Amino acid sequence: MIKIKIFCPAIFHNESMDEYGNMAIEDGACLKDVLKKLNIKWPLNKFINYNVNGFSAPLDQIIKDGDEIAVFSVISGG
Amino acid sequence: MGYIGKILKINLDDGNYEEQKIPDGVYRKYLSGIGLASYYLSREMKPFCDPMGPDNILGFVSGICTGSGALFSGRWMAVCKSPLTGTWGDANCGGNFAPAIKKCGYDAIFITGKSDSPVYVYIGNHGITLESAEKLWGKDSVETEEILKEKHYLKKDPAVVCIGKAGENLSLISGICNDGGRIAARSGVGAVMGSKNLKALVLDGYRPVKTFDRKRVREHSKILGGKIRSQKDFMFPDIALKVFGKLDAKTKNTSVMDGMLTTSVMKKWGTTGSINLSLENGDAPVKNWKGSNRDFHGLKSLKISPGKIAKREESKYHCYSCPLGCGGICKIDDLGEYSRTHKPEYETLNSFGPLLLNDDLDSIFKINELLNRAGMDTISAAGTVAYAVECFEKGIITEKDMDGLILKWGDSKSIIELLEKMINREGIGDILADGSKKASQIIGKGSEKFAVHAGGQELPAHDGRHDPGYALHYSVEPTPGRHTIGSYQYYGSFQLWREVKSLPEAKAGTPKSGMYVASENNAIMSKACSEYKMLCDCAGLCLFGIMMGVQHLNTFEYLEAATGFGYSPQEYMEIGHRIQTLRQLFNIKQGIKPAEMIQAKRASGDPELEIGPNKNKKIHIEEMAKKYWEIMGWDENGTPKPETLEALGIEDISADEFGEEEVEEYEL
Repeated sequence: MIKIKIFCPAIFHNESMDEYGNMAIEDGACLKDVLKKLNIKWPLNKFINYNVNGFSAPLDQIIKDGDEIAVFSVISGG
Repeated sequence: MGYIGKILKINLDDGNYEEQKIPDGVYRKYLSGIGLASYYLSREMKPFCDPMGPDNILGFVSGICTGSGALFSGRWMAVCKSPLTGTWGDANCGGNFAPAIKKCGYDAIFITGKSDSPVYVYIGNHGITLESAEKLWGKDSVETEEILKEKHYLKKDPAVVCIGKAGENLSLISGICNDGGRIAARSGVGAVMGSKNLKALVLDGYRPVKTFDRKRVREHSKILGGKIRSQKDFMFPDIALKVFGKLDAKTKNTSVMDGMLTTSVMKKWGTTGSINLSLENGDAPVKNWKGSNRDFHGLKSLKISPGKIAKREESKYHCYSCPLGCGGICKIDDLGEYSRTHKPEYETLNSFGPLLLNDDLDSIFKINELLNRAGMDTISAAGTVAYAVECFEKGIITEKDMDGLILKWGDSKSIIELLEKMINREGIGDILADGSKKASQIIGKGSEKFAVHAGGQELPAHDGRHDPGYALHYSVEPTPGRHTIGSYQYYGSFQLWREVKSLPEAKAGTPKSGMYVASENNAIMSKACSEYKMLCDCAGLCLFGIMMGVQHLNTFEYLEAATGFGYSPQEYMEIGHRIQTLRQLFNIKQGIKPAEMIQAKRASGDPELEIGPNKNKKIHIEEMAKKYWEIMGWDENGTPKPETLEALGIEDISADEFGEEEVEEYEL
């Protein structure tokens, strides 16, 4: 298992992550697998915005230990 | 490094100017931008200074990272004692004016005195002159800028800031404009400029700006720019954010998000992108803060949705050094003289939309251009109109008082007519031109409770009942009613705990109810927001850049690369604390009682709303303010404690602690 960190709106929170967004996932998992754990599946995963360590990434990108994954962030302000 | 080391002081009483070298020690302690301004104004401003008198100091400051190659470093600020609130006053703006200050060879330009007749100041590489502005007086900000750019065009357009009619008429809610529709709107800075008979500044310098380690700045900018460019387009229609807002309102827990993902929304729609989200989750105030999304339901809100605004966008607008381009230039054929206009910002859209129950998008475009040209703050103007509509609704002011004008919620025609009266100070517009608090003191009859302000400044379009962090910062900032400093959402976005190890990491998935508690932890987060925003205002950075978080835009890295001071993030945060405390001390010396700056009761849920996403939400704002003051090292009345001043090294700012300042005097 590897440890990654998730940033996402509360509507996607579930028991797969702790209160700091830490998530454990199988070694060799890809971004699509991470989204699946957040219950974000096809077709939503085709449209929703996400990135890995700040860079946009394809769904089949293999996730590494310590990666930070951000999913659908809309911050109001200004 | 990163700074010029010199300021320009202009006295409009006698028309003379001085160049003053500022010792390195000042920059090491206060950086530049708002830090330099807080140092200078605290030293030079007389206690109990009349903000509309010649002794008030009007400053234009640039950031220490501006011109270094740092992305998002194009913000300049106007500073003074605010005539609207009587407190420290400042207003922050983008466009292309920030680098122009440094290219003229100064970190800041400070203006005192009052000219006998209208003038403008021209500053170029070959000298500084005072020019007559008699023929410009009465012209709007766009016309003024065009005339001055044409007159002073050399190899490129000079940078111009100016006031419009609102500033000339000394409206206390007037601002200072640049770039054909950007405005440093808040604190009544335009009125101070008008009080000096100063119509404009024209800057046309070509001097290089030195940076300690430009390569290091560029390396950081390259990575940041790469991340921003890599974000995929935002694929959802604008209605999706309405649905998301509804879901967000129903969740009981907090979120911590990554601001980098917001860039795709900002690129697509700019700040207007969040309007439907904000309406549905309770972030957007409605009907002068007494309504809810039920009063501005789906059919109405979709009429002013970001998609409809984007359809009118002809081109993107970028401020200096901005890779994002959240602004836009719009073309609207049926708006006559206003057919080409800057896209309204979220604040303007919500303030002249849901706050007044107005769903006429054309009117919002027209109002935006009308107020930008007049140089009047859209936030305060809308808050004041909302106050007037409620007074009319309750019969406190009548058709007779309004010279025949009938005010109604959502009636765009009467809103525009009233704004024109305010700009021109005609009839009741003369009273309303100075904001809702002052108007309520004149009109009376219990109307004070309809004036939704903090310390006299109308509240922006983020409802503290949704995020109490906003309410706190509206109430405790030395410039009250300011939405760009802190909130719990901002703290989660800034992610400062990555760099400042003493700060708590924001937790996701914890009950939202925790935000409403006057806890030490919440106060620590708010203190960090205040300090960090002071740093960013020293650097000249844009809020929308820093909201991506320090993991992407690392302000500490930019500051270090620009200055080479060798400070840790913690030491930079202490500078932020010093500046925030000095601004508070400025207020105390001007006779301000911080407890009187607390936001209007209605905005704190007194009385509580009975419907909508903010139903039954109440903020114990006095308790929260006291906890913030305690954590800041200020006493129970909000006055900085002597030991705090000593620890921060600001016991006596008037003493010359940095040695001789070199001054060269000139006659204009």
